[in-house]
Amino acid sequence: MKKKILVIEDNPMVVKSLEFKLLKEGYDVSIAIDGRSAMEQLEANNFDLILTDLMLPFVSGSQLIEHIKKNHPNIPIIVLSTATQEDIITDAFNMGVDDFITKPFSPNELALRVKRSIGSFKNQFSHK
Amino acid sequence: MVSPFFLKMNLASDIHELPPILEINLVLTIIFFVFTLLLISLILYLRVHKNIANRRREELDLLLIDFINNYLFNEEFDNSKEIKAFKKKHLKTNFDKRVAVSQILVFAENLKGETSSVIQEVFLGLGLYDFLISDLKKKAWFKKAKALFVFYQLNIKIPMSLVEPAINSNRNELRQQAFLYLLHNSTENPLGFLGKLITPLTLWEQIYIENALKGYPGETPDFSRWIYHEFSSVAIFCMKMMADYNQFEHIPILLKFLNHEKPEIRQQAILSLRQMEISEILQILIENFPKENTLLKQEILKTIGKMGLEKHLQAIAPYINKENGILTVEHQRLARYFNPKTSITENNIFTNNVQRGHS
Amino acid sequence: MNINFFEIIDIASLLFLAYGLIILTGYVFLAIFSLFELRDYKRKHNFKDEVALLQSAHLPKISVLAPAYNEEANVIENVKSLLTLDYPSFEIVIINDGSSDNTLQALISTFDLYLDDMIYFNHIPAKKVRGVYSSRNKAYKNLKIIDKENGGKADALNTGINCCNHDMVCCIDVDCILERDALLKLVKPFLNNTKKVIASGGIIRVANSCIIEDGRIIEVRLPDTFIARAQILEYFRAFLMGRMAWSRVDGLLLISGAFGMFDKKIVIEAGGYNHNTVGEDMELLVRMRRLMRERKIPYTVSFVPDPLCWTEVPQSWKVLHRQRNRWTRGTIETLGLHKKMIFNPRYGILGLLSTPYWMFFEWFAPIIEFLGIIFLIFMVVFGQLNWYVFLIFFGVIYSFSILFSITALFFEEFSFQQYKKPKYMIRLLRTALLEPILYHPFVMWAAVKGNIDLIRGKTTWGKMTRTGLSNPTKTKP
Repeated sequence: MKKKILVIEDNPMVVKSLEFKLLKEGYDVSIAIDGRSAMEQLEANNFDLILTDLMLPFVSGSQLIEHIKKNHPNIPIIVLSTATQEDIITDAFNMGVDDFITKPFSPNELALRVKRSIGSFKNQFSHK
Repeated sequence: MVSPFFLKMNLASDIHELPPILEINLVLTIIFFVFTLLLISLILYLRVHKNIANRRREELDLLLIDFINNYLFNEEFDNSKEIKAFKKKHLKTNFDKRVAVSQILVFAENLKGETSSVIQEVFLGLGLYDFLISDLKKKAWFKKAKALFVFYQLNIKIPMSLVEPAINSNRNELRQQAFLYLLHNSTENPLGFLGKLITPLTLWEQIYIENALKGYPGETPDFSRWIYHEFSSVAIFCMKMMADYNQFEHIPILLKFLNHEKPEIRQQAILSLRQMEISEILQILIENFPKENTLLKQEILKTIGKMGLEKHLQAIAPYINKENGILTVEHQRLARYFNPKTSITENNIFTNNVQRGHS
Repeated sequence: MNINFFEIIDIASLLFLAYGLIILTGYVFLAIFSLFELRDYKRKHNFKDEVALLQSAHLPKISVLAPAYNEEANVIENVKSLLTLDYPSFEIVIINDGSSDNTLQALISTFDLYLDDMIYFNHIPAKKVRGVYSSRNKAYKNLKIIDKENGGKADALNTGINCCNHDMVCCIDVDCILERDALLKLVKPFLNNTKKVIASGGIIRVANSCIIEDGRIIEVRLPDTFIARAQILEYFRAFLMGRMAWSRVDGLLLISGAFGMFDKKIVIEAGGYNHNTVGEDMELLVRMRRLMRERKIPYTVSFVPDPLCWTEVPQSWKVLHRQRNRWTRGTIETLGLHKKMIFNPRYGILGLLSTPYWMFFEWFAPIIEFLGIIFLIFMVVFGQLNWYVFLIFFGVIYSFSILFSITALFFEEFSFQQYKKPKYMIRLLRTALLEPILYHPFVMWAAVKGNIDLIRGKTTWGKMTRTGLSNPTKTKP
């Protein structure tokens, strides 16, 4: 079965490119353009990975991460953000994200890291 | 804004001939109405025009995103054929070309790696190079500045003869873009333009230079080269960069600058050395403490908080004037940080009552 | 008698011409300066190059200060919205100004707050702080709530300045809706200026009837009520023509209390907000400018015309009256406190242009108009009015008022047009036709009443009564 990825991002160009690239890689992609609709989608579907921006309308990325870690602790999270400041990256990892990709990003590298995070997620389960 | 003076004119009740002022007023009324009508037509025209332009922009943006994505990621896409077709079909007016340029910039801003050169390819393939070069040859500074911006964002080289006039422009904004172009396209000495500065570096420019340096493929410049620059802002920028790039070889200069005559340079020296966690500075700072101003004293306290010990704090304590509330508070904050049981003297201070009363 | 009439008419004509000429010149200058300023602003900010700023670790950190008084109903939503601002490093400081409702409790339970043990220095004397709270939740680590005894808006902001961490402060009304890039846009003037920038202010937009969800504007709509639409025109005139032009000559005297950014150090050195005036926002900026001028440090004050801050304007005549009454008192108090500056060449543009402008156009104009109307009524009662002459004069003034509004509307169209539908523009044009007759006399009366209240208040109480923050009428254009 196809792995399902939730992409949370408000820039239409980035959304389209991610969707294009990830579909090509054989994933099932859902899009949320703000934190609020992301929360709704999280309730309605099961995802294998979440790819999120930090600066989002309605609900900020960090609030969203807290929410996901609390309610869906097993879904791996990759942050895709413009921020390159060390403290922001450290904060994200402290909140429990699995990976942090900064913009501008290389689409191929992103695909690799998505694959790795989904893979580690599976392993995590088989160990349990 | 409405004047009441006309009201006095009712005194003219028994005058039958129109005084000149009334004539002037009539003429003015007509002029005002004509202007009003002109402006109203202009507003409505602009409104409709902008709405059409926006609709076109939205439509074209979607087409562009789709096209570029296919170009970048779809192996079955016949790139060279499709790009010709797209150019012919969708990029007819200058407006279309500007929309295409901004959308390509969005791609360049968000994607890197192997896609960067493909984005360049799209830009050139759509014929936007010539379009922007013609902008660069125009008189308007903002068109030139924008064109330079696009060229360096996309890493496209243009003839130096087109950049040089911009370096000497009297428009600050244009000079900024020219310098950034030089920085982005240099193979050696990326900061060479610092020698050509005629105004101090603003924080804004520093941030853009810093950002451009992150993408600079060559060797990181030796920031000590401009440390004695006539503008303090350049020296300060170089000191920031020394810390950001961990140029430990320049620590002696930074240490020397702790005694620089200009307080803003002394301050940045403290900040940089603190960021690099050079603990030797503590001794110098403690010696300097009594003669520094409040701002620098605050920085010294902060440094002690970050890398010092309680004994360092005790060494400067006698030089904290009890009248100086700011320093007293900072001192007490630190004292409590080192030793949470330190009691607090109440002196224009607020604290939550958590620790008060203990000693 | 007839000879006297002629003489009086001559004098009146001259006075009228002079006054009209001043207004007309003022108007032309405002329009020209504002046009150039808007054009330059658009050209300078045509790059969309904000990524470098968002990635920098050297961007100044900002403390957003929002006083809250009995805001239980909306405070949670507003704070959540503030937390989603796009800026690399900022903190949100909510100052609970001794609310009598459950504002504090709501904040504590929603954001999982605890009493933070920290010492602060009271740079500016302010009412007693009862506690400073931080959140246990990592997602809210840049949120700080200060609980203090009630002292009014100025006092609350002063407390915020005392307790906040960063060197830049952005003072806002907690019920304002900020665009996500508001901080980024407002901080730009501080970064890209060779002169020291002490403050930058933003434009205030009217949020009435707009579609708002979770503290964010989803769709901009034109207000349904005439009273709100009239205020839109007023705000266009005040911001797009007034402030923009004044910013060109560096003569700004007011940054709206609803949305402005300041260099904290200068605010503290100037002594913070003055809680003895109802015009604390204007008074602070004037005092800061005066301080810089007297220290002979080159500096500037900036204005950002992007639509960044949205607020509800009064929809009821009663509330509007109260607001304008207060603005008038604030203006007079500020001019009174700084009367030394008026016509004083030592203060440059501020002394020779800005303060006299405020005195004549903001303070005296409504009074003069009011006297004129009294005179008109008097004439009608005694049957002395020549309707023909009256109509000619009415015509010139009416057409001028409309031209003024339409020009402002043109600036809106030229700059950051927010009312996209042509239908909205037509309704605004219609409002411009009615506004001088149906709206203007009312705000003029409110201003006159402000003068009266100030005089009466001074003799009976000797001190201004303080308006609570719950007053939904804050932003002065």
